[in-house]
Amino acid sequence: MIVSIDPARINLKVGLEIHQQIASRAKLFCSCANFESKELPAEFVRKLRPTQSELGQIDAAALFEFQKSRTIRYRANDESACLVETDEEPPHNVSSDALEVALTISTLLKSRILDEIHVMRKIVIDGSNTTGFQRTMIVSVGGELSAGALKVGVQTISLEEDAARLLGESDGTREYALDRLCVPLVEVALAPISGSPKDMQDVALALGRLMRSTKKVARGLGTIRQDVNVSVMGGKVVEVKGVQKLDLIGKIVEFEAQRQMALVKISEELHKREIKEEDIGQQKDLTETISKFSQKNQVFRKVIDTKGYIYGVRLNGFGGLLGYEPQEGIRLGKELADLVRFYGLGGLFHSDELPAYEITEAEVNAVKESLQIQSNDAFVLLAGPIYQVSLSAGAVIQRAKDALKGVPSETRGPTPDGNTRFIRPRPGSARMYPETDIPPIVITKEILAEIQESLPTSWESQIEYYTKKYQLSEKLAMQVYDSDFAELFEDIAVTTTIPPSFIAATLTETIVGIARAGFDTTKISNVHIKEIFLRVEKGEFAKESVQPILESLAKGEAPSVSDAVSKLSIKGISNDELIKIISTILAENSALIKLKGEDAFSALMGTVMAQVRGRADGHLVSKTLRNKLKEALR
Amino acid sequence: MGELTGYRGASLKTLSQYGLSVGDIILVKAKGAEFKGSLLPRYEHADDKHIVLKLDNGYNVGIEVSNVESIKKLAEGQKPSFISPPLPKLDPSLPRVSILGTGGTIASRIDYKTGAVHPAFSAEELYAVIPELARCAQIETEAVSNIYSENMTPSHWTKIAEACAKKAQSKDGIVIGHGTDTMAYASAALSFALHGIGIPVVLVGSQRSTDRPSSDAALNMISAATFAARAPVSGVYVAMHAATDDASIAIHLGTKVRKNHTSRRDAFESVNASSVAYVEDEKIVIKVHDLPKRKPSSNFEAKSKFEEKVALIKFYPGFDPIIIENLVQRGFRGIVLEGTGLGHVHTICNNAIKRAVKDGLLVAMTSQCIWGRVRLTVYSTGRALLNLGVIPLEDILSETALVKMMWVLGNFPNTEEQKVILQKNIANEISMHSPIRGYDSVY
Repeated sequence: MIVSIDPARINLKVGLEIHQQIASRAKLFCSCANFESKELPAEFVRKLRPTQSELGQIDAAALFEFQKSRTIRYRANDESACLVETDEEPPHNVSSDALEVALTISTLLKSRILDEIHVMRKIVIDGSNTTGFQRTMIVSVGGELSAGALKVGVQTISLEEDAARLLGESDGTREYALDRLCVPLVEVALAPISGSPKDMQDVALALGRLMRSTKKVARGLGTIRQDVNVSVMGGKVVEVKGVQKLDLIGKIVEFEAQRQMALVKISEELHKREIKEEDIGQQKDLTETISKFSQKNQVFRKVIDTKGYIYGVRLNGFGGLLGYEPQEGIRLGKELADLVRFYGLGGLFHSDELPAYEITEAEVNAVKESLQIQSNDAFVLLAGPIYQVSLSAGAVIQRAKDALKGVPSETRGPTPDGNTRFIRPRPGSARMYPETDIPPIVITKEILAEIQESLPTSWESQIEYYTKKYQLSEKLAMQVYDSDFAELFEDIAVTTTIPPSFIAATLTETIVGIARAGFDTTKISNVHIKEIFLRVEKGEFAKESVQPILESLAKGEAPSVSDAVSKLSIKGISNDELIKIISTILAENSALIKLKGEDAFSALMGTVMAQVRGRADGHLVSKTLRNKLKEALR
Repeated sequence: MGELTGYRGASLKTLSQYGLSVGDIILVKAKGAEFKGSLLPRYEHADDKHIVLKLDNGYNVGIEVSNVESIKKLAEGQKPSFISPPLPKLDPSLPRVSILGTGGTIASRIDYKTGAVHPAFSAEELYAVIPELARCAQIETEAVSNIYSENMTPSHWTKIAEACAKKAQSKDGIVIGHGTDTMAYASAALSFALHGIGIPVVLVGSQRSTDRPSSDAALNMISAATFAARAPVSGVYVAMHAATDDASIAIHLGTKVRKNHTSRRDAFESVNASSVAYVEDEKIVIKVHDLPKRKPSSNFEAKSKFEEKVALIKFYPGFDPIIIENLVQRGFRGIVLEGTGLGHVHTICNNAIKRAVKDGLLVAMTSQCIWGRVRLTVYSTGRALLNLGVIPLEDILSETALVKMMWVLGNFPNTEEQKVILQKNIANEISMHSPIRGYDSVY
């Protein structure tokens, strides 16, 4: 278990960047519908090249991606993409709906809206944009977010296009769907603060609530993503990209702080050893050396059989430091392994762990001799196709040099358990240049006045509205507001006579409970939920059956509500049947009724419910029983 | 070029007051916010109310000058400039190819003046950003001109043709980077002017500018150079994407190709003919086998003159013959009519046409259908036009017909000879064989 950190002592700074999809009908730069297509019949392949930015320097991150020399396959459907997404037509004007939402959020955060907005191209050549860049624009600067007692500065608010949806990757070909490309996103970049991981979570929650108050932002998994920028001791910033779940933020901050502190320790140790950057690494082809041995190691065996290469990299003065674990689970050897995976290798072997993995002492000695390893040196072995091995060797040497400085500035991704993993080096500002196909947008006083006039009510008053109109408790109202079902809740509450608190509890607590039990609640659609409540309203089955039906859908036992109903043998009973059952029970208990009068109700209710649970609504049963009991007493 | 490029009026006044130049690192206080960044030039057609800053994070922002409270100059900056990477080494055993730069999107980068993509790369700069070119040929580059393709005139074709004729003495192939808007006109012009040349001359463009990672320029250029260096044929061709994919590059006849889409990569299509070859992964596959072979070009001379007093006129319902009369009065020497269907215009035009022919103008007929052949003997309106002296030009493209008439009038003084050559196939522009699949393969 990782030891807890003291944010102040290690000068932990965390900056959040929140990306929220806008729920607009059209996309940001064309009139295509904004939704996920089930079928993607159109298909084409492209290659992207690094480019000269306007300042004449090739961006390092762009080059890095290019070195992987990927083919990209795009798939699209005319219903959700057009020639703009395929990069076959210039972008249309910026969607005024999307711009309005961005300007509204800026105003709510007291951010200073720009006089003239310039659309930029941010080079991204991993294939997630057909153009090779993401179109993005700052709409405002500065501002402040209140999260309870905590005040956090706003740096910038931007409007940008979402990337294409990654479908998969195989044999060096990435496949993307174009339906999500060009969907408008608002990005709010908050100033770095030195709060606790819990504070970060509260800040993200507060910002999410503020954005949802516009009622024009998308909901559901993947519609809001957080980037978490972490630095310690005033060092380089590491960006953790695409954290989808709020409750992971705290864990990620904690892990990153630990990891970065560990890297600082390694750097201190390297400095103690007086290692110079210029003579850190040396790479050499060891394929022949290693081929001489009988190959028990599976990786080497396979590489030699397939005419691949084995490279050795000598790291001067790194002896013992690749396996050194200043914090549990954090080792330079592991960082290097993550790095070479980026180039398509499965991993690496290093001197601190050898001999092992059926690599013999004799082999290790041969490698040491060939690489001229001195007692204080370390080495790394890389095996695979020549292209990947040679690129990896260069990257390993560069990473070793960076280790001297401590924390390299890189982009990492979250793992499901709240750790982080290397994705690519952090891009610099050289990757930005103007989107010349769209002229700058002047924000006039008239536009600002219109935004000011149509500001939404605050989220606090929206919660108050839920408590007043639907008699929800404050807790339930908050849960509904924070959930993905706020609109669905109002829809069902208005169209049925089912108690709103039951609807709210189902949409929040019941569904969350099913998810926590490990079932896939994404299988439950809004259409399913509405159908269930409408059938309850019609008396086809009782409220008590709602949860089992939802569970059945989430478990994948039934594809539709009707299937779930028949699978669970839920049958509603008609009013006549209910009356018949109640009459029978009353007749059987006439002695009790005579003795207790109306006080017999609770005992009788229990008996009736035992027979009709799940088939008749409790309220209806109680009402009918009370009437029949009165009749009987008369 | 001043120190405050693009600024005028109020914004120029404010910046001058503070003694600023483009590139300076400045701190601007404006209505409740501070902006720190380098001062950028203003796009030429933008208003005079804003100044533009590039912030440290790379974003550009516009600040209204009336909101400016103060500007502080923090440092002098460097003017944005383009630095070419070093030239790659050339392999002396490879074929020699000359790349001629003319401007246009194949050779362009961002321009602060208009905020638009602008021809600014010299052919050398282009070569430097496509290092793969060093693999297929020893390349020498030369800028013939550097203008938008829509600003090209027949005099530019003359210049390019003469440059090609000169290069043909010592090179194995020529590649011409050209803006796509008028590339098909230029390829037709060079097909005639360079008729009989012994090496391939390949025009190439791009539909996505070279400043973007998704540009089609590199693949088009690499394929064009490959074809120019190694194809066993001579003549003038156009090399562009065969489909939206970055896979296959189609090689079209210079006289049979047309830009048929405003923006797609595969905008260029062969009309009334098939593309003659394609290049895939730097390999050439020839589809049409009766193309002229390579031959020595040491004594080759171009017929490079073009008569500019020639008009291409599209007929439409409501067309006023006064347009034809005006051309005659203003001394035009030829008219290509783009008629309807098989080659028709309203009979109301007949007098004007008669007058034009009488005054010695060449009057020819093509069809606005784009695909297919004109045939003036089918309907009486057509037969009347034939009788008036209108020359039907078979399955030629209207644009090619225009260029050919300019060339005929520019290089052959004898009127009867002009008429004969106009109707004779010179550079595959006229084919008497109408391919069955020449149309449906496109759709």
